[in-house]
Amino acid sequence: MRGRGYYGATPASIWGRREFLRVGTLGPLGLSLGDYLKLGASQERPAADRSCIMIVLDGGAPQHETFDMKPEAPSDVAGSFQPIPTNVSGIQICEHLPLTAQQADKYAILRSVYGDTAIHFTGVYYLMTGFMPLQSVDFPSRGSVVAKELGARNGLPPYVLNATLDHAAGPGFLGSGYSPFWVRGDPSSPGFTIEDLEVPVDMDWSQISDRRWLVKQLDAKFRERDTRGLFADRERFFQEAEDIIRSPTVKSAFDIGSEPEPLRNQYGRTPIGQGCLLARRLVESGVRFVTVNAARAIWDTHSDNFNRCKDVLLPEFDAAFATLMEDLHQRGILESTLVVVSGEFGRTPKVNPNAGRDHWPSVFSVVLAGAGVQGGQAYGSSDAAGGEPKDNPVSMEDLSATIYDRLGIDPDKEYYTASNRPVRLANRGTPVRAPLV
Amino acid sequence: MPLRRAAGLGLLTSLLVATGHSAAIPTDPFRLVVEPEIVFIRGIGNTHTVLFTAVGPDGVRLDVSAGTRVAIDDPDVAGTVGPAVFEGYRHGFTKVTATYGRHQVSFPLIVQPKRSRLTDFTTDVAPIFSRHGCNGTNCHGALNGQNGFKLSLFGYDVDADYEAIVRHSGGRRISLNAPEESLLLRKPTLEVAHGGGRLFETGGSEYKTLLDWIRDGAGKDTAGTARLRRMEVYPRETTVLADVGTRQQVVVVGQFSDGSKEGLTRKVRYSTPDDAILDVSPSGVVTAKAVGEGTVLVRTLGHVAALRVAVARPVTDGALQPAPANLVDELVFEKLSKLNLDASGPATDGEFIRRASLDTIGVVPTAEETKEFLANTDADKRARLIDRLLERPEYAEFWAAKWGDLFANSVLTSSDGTAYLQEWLRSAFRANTPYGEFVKEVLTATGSTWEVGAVNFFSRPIEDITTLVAQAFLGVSIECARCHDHPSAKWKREDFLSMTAFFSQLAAKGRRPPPVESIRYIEFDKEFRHPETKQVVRPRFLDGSEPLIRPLQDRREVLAKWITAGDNPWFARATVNRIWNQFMGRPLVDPVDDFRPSNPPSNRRLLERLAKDFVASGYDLHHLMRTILSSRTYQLSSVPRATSRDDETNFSRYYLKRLTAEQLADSIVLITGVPQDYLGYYPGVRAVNLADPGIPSPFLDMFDRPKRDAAKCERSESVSLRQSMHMLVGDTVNAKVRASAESGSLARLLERGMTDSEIIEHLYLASLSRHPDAEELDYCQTALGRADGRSEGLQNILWALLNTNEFLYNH
Repeated sequence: MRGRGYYGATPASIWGRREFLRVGTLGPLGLSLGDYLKLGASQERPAADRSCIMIVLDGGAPQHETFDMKPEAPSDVAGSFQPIPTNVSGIQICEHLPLTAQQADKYAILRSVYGDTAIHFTGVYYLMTGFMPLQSVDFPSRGSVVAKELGARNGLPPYVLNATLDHAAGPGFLGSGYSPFWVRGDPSSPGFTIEDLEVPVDMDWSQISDRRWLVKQLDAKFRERDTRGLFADRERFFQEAEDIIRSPTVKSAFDIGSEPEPLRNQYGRTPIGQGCLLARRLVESGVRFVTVNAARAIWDTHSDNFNRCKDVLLPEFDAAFATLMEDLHQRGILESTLVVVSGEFGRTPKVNPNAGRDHWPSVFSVVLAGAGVQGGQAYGSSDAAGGEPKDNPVSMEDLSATIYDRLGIDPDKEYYTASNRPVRLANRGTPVRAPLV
Repeated sequence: MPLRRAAGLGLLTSLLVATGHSAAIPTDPFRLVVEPEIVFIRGIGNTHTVLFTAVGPDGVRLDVSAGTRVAIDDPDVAGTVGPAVFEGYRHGFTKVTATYGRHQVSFPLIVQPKRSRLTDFTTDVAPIFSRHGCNGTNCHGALNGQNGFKLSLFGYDVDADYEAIVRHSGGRRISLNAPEESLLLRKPTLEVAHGGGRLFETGGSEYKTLLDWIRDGAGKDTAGTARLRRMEVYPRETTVLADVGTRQQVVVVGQFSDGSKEGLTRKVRYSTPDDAILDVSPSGVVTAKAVGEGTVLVRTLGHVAALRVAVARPVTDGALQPAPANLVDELVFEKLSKLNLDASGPATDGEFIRRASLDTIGVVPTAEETKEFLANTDADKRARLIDRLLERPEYAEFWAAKWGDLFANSVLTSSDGTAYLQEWLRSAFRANTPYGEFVKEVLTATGSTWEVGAVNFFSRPIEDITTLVAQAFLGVSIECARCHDHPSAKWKREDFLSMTAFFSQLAAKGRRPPPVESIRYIEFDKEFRHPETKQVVRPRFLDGSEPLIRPLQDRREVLAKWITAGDNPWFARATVNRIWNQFMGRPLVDPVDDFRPSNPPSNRRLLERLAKDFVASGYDLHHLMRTILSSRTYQLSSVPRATSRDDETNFSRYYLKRLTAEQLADSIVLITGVPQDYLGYYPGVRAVNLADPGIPSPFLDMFDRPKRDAAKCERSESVSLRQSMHMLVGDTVNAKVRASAESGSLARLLERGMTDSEIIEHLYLASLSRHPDAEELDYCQTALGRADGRSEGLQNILWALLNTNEFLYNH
């Protein structure tokens, strides 16, 4: 299970024939030519040419102030915001999401999702992996699974993380070969660059090649000490690193500076706005899975929920998400791109004395769009207070299965951990199909 | 290099003694042993399995139950229904004599009446659901049950299960009028469709138990019925199976609250997480599938027990181990011999000084230190090096940082007293404070977070303190029990809350904001209340005993005294396990903070001996570290032997460890002679001395510096694309190598007029703690020739050395 890097699955076509033949000589380092051909073949999975943008409303967005308004409820439940109509009759969302309201024909709202934990740390892990944390098994995040299942496209890393969710975004027992490519910077800051993507001015490729050649020679005798394939992983990562740094495609994929100013402004010059723009560029270029959040626990509104939602959280999200919908649609890639919007849980139906809402996993709303999801609908519902699921409850496992299903991955596929314990990708969740898709 | 290895082998041969065993069957003369020694059968018609084992003089065991003949003195009392399985015919006593070859053993067998005339739910009925896995995570024990029928996970909540079976769904699962028609019987026998398939036969013993219970009225429990207290599992020691295909019967005996015993072998559920190595049947027969080692779990009704089973590599010539140097070696090599695994050869002096330095002081030795050590001819130079390392200032800094991880010392989780806690830890390690006192001082600290460093330990919510104390000092994870009873360990929510009550008296007030200094003090009458019932919770130790606490006494003192007492069941073992893990790269109980009955140590006797020795030394950390460092086990080479390549648990070699983020950063600074600046710190600070993980450093983060958002002392050792990109074009190693040639160590070597090969020699000693061989010198010369000038060539060599696996891994 360990060690077969996603990037190692790069199709031969992007390297060209000369490079491809060279693979044959890599045999002792872990991958035989036969392995390579097999990896190449797995790229051709028919339904798999899909991508996913996961927008995490980190901290837990309030369902009552976003996609599941309860205007009929008592005021200490309903809160102070009003619903507005959307471009789909019968569906209303929060008044502070006016742009998102005009895109409602493109997405579905799941109003009956429920989790099992009211702790951020655990909740984010549950959302990102589809599993509650266990002492005994380190579960892979969904991005890592997608990287493994769908592989790389166009020489780009399949899984990019532009979010502060490190504890829940890793490869787990799949091993570091499926780690996310981590974009640490804030894409809305003026000096935003991707670290380590440029050769320093005083160096050139021939010097780098000389250095790598020498490492290989000096390490030859030490190789016998590796019983777990670690060195082969590392050797391959050096090669992949070089390929990435040399690749104009990769540089261009990350270059949000080349987007037209008006579009950048339309997304919003905020971490979530520019993060969504970066995500669109990346999936358009070939990245399989991009995770974006605004900032750690920014939606955790235990106090002053309404002012924070109205002044910052909702407007920033509104511009980012609505523009992303329109942008993906206009470029014709919404059909191949699943967009997921979710917090790790919802917030309490009752407003607390600090005008805040506290953690509430029993029901919350998730938005899905693209990849076959039929827009313009609300699936499932919550009770009158927005406190429990009423119709068509969707568990976190079901949500997980639905995401895999939309990406062309069998949610019931089993992986095995190092100790041979079977793990079903979606932990026995059932994908939501009709009328959602 | 070939020469060096030949010399190493010569040294090894002189140390080798053959200790292995050679055949599957223990060498005669062996003893025939029966377990348990007395057999109690409860109720006519019930069965009891026993275990016949041939035990050789070398301790090797073989299950001979299948080939043993038994003679029962009074055949009216009991008979056999299978190899080593007895059935009670009538109440009474008889002697049984077992014969295997020319060996004999006798034991008493007693058939007693059932505890009650009626079938009891808790004792008789509920275990059936555990045995068949009905209450497992993927069946009715799942969070939402299965098809509307929900049982508690692994049967930890008998009351709820009774309700679910008898009352839920309108009671349709039980038919008192027509007991045979009960769904509870028709489903598992597949008389009606059942997703879980057929679990037992109509008319079988479990069927009969359920039927009797329903006929008796499907009552809850009979008052005064004895309850299961614990399970004894045989064989008790780690069992070594001689070869793939070898079988071992497991025998389980229950001890009940009235002091009585009862065979449970056929009434419990067996499973193994290591199913690539072991197979275990529903009747408790373990079969070896592959060479290796695993755990077999035995469950019934919320009780769990475990045994370790190892499968030896079959050989005919025995395994070779060095002669033991101390107690560590005796127990490690004994196990290797049983498994027929060869220990690796001894580590070279260069490997040893590098390894011991990284493990003890967190940084590679300098070229000068290594040169001197290699040239030294004293027989006890390794022992002297160990003593010197333990006294180095970096020792205290390195271990303080480790304990900073363990205490989750960070501005986010604790307070801005972070640096004061770090300094307190440094001083404690510097003074080698006996660890019992160390822990007492932490646990009873009061005062200002800016003056009393240790008090920052308490700068976190009260329940987090409980989790941390249990994990850091006792090696047990009770976090689950914060919210609910632990489904698979013995911890109840009550245990968690009662332990939390020891910290109820803690009070705090702020003084000078901001940044906030806070004063921690004790309010003697402050109580901890149950989060829901709001009742005052009395403090109680995790072993269940309740201490006497005087008025005006700091409860934490009482807790600290109990934790650090020599007979505490966890403290010494957990500490030994933690320290062992730091040096040996694998804990004996794995994960390191997860002591529980279902997670047995890989070498129980070694853990016990080290713990005992640690207590006897007065909790002297240096003594414990010295014991480990001076063992031959620690000093084995990391080159695997052909026979032990797959061994990841028995320390047949020194396991590779990737350097930690700080080891790597500080070693690179030391070798290049170019300091690294960190935000808000004095120039030249070493990474190991950064008190807070929030000090920005992408380099440290990509090499797995922990966030310290939870107490953790195991770090990941990732290898990633990100690291490779950074190494190739990033500004850490590239910049340091460049600056080294301009103003760092490389510049100084050039100024001294050294030749190319002298400089290469020096760089090898500084980074890999050894001399280059002729071939390596050649490669370096070639690289020099290819480069654009001497300085660039030497920079390339330095860069290459810092990017070898030999550098990146402690070996």
